[in-house]
Amino acid sequence: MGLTIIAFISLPGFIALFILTMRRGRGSPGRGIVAAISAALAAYSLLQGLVFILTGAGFRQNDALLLERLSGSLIVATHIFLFLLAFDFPTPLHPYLRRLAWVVAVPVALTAAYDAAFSFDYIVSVYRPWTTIFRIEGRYYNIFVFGDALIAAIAVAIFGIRALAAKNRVQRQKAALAAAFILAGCALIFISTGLLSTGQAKRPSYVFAPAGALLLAIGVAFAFRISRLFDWRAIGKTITGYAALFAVVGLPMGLATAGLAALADDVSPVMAAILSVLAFVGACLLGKLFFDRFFARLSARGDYRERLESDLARIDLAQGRDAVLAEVYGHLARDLDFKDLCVLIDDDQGFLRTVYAPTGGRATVERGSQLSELLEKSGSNVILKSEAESAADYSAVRSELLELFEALKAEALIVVFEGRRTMGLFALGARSTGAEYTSYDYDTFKAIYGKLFVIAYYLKNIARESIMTTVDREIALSDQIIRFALEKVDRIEHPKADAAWLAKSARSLGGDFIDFVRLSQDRWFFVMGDVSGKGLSASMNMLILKSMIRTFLRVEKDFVSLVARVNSFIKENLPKGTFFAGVFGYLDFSKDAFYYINCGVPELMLYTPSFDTFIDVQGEGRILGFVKDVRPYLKPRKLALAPGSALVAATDGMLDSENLRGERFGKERLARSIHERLSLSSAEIVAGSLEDMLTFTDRRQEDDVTLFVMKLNPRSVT
Amino acid sequence: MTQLDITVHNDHHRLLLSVSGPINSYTFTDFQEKVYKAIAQADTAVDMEHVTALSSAGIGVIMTAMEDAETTGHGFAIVNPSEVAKLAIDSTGFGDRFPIVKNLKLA
Repeated sequence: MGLTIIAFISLPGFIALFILTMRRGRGSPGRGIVAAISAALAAYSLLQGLVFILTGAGFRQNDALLLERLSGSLIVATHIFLFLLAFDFPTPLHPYLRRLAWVVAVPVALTAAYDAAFSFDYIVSVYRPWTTIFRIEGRYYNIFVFGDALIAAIAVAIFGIRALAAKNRVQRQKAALAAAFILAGCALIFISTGLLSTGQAKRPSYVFAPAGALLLAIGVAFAFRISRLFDWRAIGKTITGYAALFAVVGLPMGLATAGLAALADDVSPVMAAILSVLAFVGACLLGKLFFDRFFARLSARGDYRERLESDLARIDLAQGRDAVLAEVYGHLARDLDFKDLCVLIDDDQGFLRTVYAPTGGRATVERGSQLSELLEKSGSNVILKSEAESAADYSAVRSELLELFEALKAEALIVVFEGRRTMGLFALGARSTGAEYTSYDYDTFKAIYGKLFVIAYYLKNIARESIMTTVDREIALSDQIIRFALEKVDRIEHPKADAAWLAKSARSLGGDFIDFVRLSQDRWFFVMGDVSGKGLSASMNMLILKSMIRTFLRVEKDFVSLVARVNSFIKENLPKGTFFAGVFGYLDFSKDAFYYINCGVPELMLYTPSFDTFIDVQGEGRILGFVKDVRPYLKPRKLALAPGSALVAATDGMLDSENLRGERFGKERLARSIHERLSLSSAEIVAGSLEDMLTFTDRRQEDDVTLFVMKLNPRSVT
Repeated sequence: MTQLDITVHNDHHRLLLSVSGPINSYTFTDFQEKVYKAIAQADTAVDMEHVTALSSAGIGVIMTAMEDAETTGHGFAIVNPSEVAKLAIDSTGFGDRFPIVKNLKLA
């Protein structure tokens, strides 16, 4: 097959580009033409592949010739589309100009395409002596090839002029990218089909043309889709870094390896191989040394992202709302070099209202408005003004969105969601240098989203004025958080089970939590555990985690993936050293089953009536927040819930409580305490067990205590 | 013992923190401050032989110290943890990832 394989490989790429452009480019100028380019090139690469097959033995040569000529027509059509695109993209030019372009281009295209397909002017014959196709070119072949190149050059020139004339930087970047990719792709096509002549009008090199076509299609589709500015400085630095690595290490070591191999080859091929390997290992070591010492400085790694993430994570929420907001403003303004910041928070009364705007700029977004609906539907966490101006996703509410940007004096919006509901907006103002936000900034905004979520959650749910006057603010806030978290649960109420739980905080300073979410008539999601740390910080983390778990639960259908996402959230967004020890579970009463993943819950046990005893069922578990990817460690288990059995889960606060002699309450005492009360209701069991623990410790409680008991009714109810 | 006692020794450019007593909700702040400060300065070893309790807050401090050690390039080790401390560390499920050594020479 030889290099014709490029045509077969390219085909799915063209089809994918066509589908992407049609599906995601709605409302954007030039969409139809960009899609037509991909479609034409898909047909072109398909025909090229078929020509290879039909030039084989057993097929009629005329069929292959016809398809080869048709593929030439498609290349002509593609170049005409590029010409027309220059009038429609990145913004449509005046209608008269566009009509004029069509009037000029269509007759040229039809004539050339017809001539290429149905005459001997373009290709006379096609054949395959071995693995590569050869073509005998017609007498006007060069006119087709140079004509295509001329049309492409005109398109490049128009795009170039449009890039220079564009006032909007994103439009400028789009036009420049289109020009660059058309130049590169068409040049490759031209070189493959027109310049690399063997002198006999037979050009095997044309099999490279599909590669040029693919570059062209990808580049045009990319220019069409992009709606954010590149950080050219960062890209330049990275390229410089790699170039320096190549020049300082790669090239000298490569030459040295080649020289050593050549010298040693005269003596012994084995010696040559050994020296080559040694030189390669040496190059790797030198490369690593260079990378560690200099590359970080040369590349874009020295920028502000990590510092900003770290600073935002260190904000002490206990210092109060105004101080927190001022600190957020200080960090963002310093690293992004802007003056204006507005923060809008959901007021629970149907509006997102401005709660912070040190330099003016206010707005209110009504829940249920078209703009609010779009924000929630799109789910985008970051919207740049340049995107709002040009991206098709916002075409329906573009004017409202741009008004919001204006009102807030913003160039970028970071939208914080609680579940699918917008909880807050951080509107970042224009940079004092006049530079626009780049893709590096965009990625940074994505990276700090978790931190801003924490701040928004704090502003919405915790930092209320009435609480801030409390003398012992930390304890008051923590207590409020705990009550807030514990009140919002879907209690398990099912004819097959009697469930109850109890959560008792030690001096209102803890991170224990329990949550139930009803998924259907017979199914509940269940999570119980302890977020490490104490005080307001732990309580905040607990509340944030609870909210995030509910958010993930809406979008994540796979149990293991859900827990893995929670782990990633803790690791990436909560303060260093934060971890969660607990259990995640699904209760399915229709199958009398409990599916669970132990993430370090201290105690999970099942009472089995047939043995009249408790069995530890938690197995091995790993806490969340310790490793970046916890997925390999997660082991889902299934437990059959027989009639008359009882499921018990407890956090370490219950088991580790000590009496005056330093003895732990422990599993055995807990099991005994529950066993003695099995004839009572679950609520009476948890209350009685807590009382036993407090009696044991002489009513001292050092840590949060959470205990869950669920008794399965002795008779199965259907 | 309800008090946490932490003494800091400078041992050949390494800092050794000897901890006695419980690391729990009420005492972990002191432990946190001293460990974070030490790891920012030099290679640090924490002798936990006489630790009588280690809560989740204490484990969190150790986890942070491990990360800070990686960032700063300083070494960090837990020396000879008491049975209760070792149990708490093992309860995370990642006990084998904590830098535990029997004595300071190996740290």
